[in-house]
Amino acid sequence: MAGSSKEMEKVLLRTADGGSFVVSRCVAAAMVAISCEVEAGEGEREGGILVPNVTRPVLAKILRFLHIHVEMAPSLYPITLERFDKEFLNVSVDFLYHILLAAYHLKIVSLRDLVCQKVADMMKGKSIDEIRTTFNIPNEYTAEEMAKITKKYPWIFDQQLDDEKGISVEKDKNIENEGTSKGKHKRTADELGSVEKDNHIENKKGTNREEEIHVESKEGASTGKDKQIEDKEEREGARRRRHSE
Amino acid sequence: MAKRKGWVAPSNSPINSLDDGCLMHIFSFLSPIPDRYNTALVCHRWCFLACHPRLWLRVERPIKGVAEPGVFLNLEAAISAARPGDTILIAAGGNHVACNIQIKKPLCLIGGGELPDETVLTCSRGSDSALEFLSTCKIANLTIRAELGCCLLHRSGRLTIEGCVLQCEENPLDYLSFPIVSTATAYPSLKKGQQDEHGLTVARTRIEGGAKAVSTNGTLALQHVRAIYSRTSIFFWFEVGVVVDK
Repeated sequence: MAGSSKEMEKVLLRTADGGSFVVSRCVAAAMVAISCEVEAGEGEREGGILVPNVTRPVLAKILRFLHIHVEMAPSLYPITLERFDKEFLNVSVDFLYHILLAAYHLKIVSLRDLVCQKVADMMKGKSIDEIRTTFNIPNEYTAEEMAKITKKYPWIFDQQLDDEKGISVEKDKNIENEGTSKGKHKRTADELGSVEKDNHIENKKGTNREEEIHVESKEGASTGKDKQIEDKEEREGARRRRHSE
Repeated sequence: MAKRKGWVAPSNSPINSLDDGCLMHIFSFLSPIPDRYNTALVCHRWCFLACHPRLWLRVERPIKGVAEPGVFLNLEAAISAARPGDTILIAAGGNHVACNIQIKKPLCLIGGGELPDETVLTCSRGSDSALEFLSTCKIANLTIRAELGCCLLHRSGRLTIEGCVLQCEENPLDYLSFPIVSTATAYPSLKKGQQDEHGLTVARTRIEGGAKAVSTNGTLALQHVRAIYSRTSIFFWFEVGVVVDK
């Protein structure tokens, strides 16, 4: 319980667009960005504390969140808090971004992380095109630019023998888990040129990369010979190195 | 906000009205593969933010002595905590020990100094290798020093080594050490003209010591070797992969 009488003291918060709120001190102090001013007792002054970069509806929403999480939390079940959080974030996407910006700049860690998680969930499991549609972002990349980027990060975009599909909705659900992600990444056929889908490959879906059984290649005599030549080159290279040292 | 190429008015894509810090924080909630790198391909701004060093894991001694998220004291801890697709930045200076570290997920290891010589991973006598790769990875700007045994053991996947220094120390048994050992085998590609899954690409790397630079115990072969002799050292470029039939 917000027990001590000091914490229950009221402070006045104002916004740039004329809103004013009277809240208890502990709630105001939860906004780390203004906590110094709260500690200094500015809130009890005539003008109160001007909370920067936030409008009245956004601050109202934030104060409601803080009221529940700071003042009421000790007397509520965790599940009630969860339900509240879910309800709380049931707002328009635009408003959500305003809340996020305010929480980020006021340094309210719990609210910031909550909203970030929600936005991240909107991005999870989607293909590139789906993300663009959800967030209404136009495609700025040409196919070559995308190929360039994927080439720059081979350990992420490496195309797997057993996984030829482009990024699509029919993604293998096995892959989506974070900790067990097997590093498979898909590219849309449109974005990087046509990629033939091989039915043969689909049988290998979900194979753990590390456990792949290496098919023993039948080395012909020619491969053996090439290897000898390469080894020879290497020996000469080593000899050259030793001479130069 | 200054106008950038491809900048769209916030009313069209409101998420772009969030500032960089907010967006980066959102991306930190996504796992690198596949989600975060999906977002990197959405637009230029997201690409810049999703691949930003601030989202990398770091191996360094924490400055304030307090544990920060994403900062680890040693390489092994960072590798076990990393998610597939993460990049680990290893701080320059200090003494990093790497003995038989198995890397089974796709990662990128980068040295934090200006030159590869500033970030040294040492593998002591008694270990087979400093780093063992079972997945497609990349290492850049690092020095790996092995006292006996090999620096890098490549088992599978595509390994890219860029701008590194691999050293096997001189000792009476150095005919037993190789800076790079590749035991990867190629298996017949199911599709024509497909890129090989297993292989090694080395670029601008100094290799010193050892019996020979690469030992290929699998079916892959050394090819496209290029060497530049500078005043103090030799830089190599080569690939280990499936021999292309001429």
